Amino acid sequence: MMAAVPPTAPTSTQRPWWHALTDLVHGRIATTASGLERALSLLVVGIRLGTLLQMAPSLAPGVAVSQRPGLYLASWIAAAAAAVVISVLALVRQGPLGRAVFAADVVLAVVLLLLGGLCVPTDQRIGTWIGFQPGNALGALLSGALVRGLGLWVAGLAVVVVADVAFRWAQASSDNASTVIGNVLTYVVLVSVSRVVTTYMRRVAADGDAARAEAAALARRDEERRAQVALHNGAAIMRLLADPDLDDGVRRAVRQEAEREARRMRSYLLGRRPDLDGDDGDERGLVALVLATTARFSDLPLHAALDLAEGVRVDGAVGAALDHALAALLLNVRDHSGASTVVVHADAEATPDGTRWTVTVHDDGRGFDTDRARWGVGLREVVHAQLTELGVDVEITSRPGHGSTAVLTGAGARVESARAV
Amino acid sequence: MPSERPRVAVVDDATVIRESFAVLMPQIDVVGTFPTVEQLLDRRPAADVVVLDLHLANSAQPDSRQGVAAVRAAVGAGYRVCAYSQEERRFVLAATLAAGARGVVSKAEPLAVAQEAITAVAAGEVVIPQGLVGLVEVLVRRNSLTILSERQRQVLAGRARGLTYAEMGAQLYLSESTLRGYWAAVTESVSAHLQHATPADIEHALGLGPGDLLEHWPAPEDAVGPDAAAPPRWWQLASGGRRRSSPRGGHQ
Repeated sequence: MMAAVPPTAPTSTQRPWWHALTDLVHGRIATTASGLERALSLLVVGIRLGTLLQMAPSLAPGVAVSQRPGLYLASWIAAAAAAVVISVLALVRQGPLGRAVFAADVVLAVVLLLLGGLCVPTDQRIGTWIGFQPGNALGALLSGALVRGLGLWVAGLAVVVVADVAFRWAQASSDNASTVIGNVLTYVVLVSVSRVVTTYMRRVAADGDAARAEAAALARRDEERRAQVALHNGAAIMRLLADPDLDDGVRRAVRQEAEREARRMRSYLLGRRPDLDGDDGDERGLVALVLATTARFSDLPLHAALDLAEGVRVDGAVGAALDHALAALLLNVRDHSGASTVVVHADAEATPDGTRWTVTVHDDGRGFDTDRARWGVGLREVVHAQLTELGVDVEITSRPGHGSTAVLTGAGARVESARAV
Repeated sequence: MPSERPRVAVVDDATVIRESFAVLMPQIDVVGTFPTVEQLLDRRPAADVVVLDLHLANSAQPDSRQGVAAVRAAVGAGYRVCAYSQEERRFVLAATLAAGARGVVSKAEPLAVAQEAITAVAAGEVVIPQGLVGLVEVLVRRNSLTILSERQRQVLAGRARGLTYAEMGAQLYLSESTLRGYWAAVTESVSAHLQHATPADIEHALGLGPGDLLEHWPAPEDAVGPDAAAPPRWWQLASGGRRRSSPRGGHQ
């Protein structure tokens, strides 16, 4: 598959704010960190407009019973205006309120609580919405649960608690002291819980974002690797074909390999797995597989000693990857080693779990320093990464002037009719 | 004592090989070149080794002895034989050693490698080509060929995988000369085993069918008839008289 990057939710902040509500209703808000902020902003809108809705029926009775109807009406309008403004800000920002906005909102709520002591009758301050000020203050604090900065949030909570006590103080008695305390604790509990839950949800969303980013990075890396695996051998073939001094015999062999690599590249471009090209899922005979691969390098001074692995069969995916890896190794030999002898040796031994096979590719060419030399795509991806991913151990040793040896070891099965050695 | 340069008699039907051999391999003293093994046996030059092409019959000399028959004829005359051929089939190369050749060298090898191998055979060593080492390992693993020493087995395994003495030395903490000694012992065992084993033994060890090797393998000496007519296949034994006197003079 070409499209390996997992789909991610569209960035919600790029959508018009008035779509937020329909997104929420239809479950289209992304489960990302920005999506969470957007959902929380809608929660603020719900709290504030809901509080306003609860305040509305008590406006007229409140004005009627207030000892200062004008002050009561002004207070009510101020609270309603604050609810509307905060809601609009939350919708527009689609995120948490700013610290200044939160501070202003809390200050207003505290002022209204204190003014409530002047315009709300004492018998209406507990358990009625005529005394709307505590409900308004709770809405302000809950809106602030999203505000970043613990100090400001704690200070807001503290002054609201003090102001609420002052608001209800005149009505407090031994009979309703517990109610007053319970109302005060409502602030502490609800606001604290909302902040804790909000903080936790932010962590979950952040972890989700990080996981998505990691998955995307891994998918990109995997895609790059697949591209490298798909194209490496082809690139090496093209480099050889471009050599004007290439021997005609070698050119014929390389041309056949080029056709094969062209098919692999086409598979990749069509979105198929080129590393599984030719893999029908069935097991393959190890000896036949290695022979088929080495036969494509008839221009090399190659000796194949495969008898000891006669009868060993390998998984189809392993076989396809092994074919590709062997081709990459032999292309390296052809391209870089200048070897006079190349040996491909296969062996197998019975183990308690089945059969372990080993394929050794050795050349007596110029070699390289495995500690210092930076491995190319062929050794790193086509040989090492591709095979180890399928459970095949890869060991490559080399020294300058002493050739190179690649030892590939994996699990297989031996058919019973084959000679065990 | 052998001279500083080994004395070599060359038997090859290709004129260009015969004419150029001495030039291409200056570290070898070419004491004679012959298009057929029959002419070699007629002239009997003193030589440390006979370098013998396996394909000797052509339109000009269709009845020439070749393949294992030629090897056996030269060996029977007392020569050390090193086959020098384009032949790559493993069973044919093994049959060549079974016929008594002390070495097999491919014409595809670089000249320096070929020259070194021929010199080694002249010095009495057995030279087994890389293509046959894997086959030897199979014979050992299947207990057809007994190699007692663990070190010899390790050296054989390393050679079968193409490792150089330097690489094996680094793995086994042994010097190159020690490893060469182990290898020399292995090759002597291989040579002796192939000459004494029957085709059936080899077939059994390699998991081949009965009779699969018959057309490649040298028959017992008494089965070789006197008919020197061209064999149906070049590698099969043809006959020829044998002269048992040693052509190597005092160098045996």
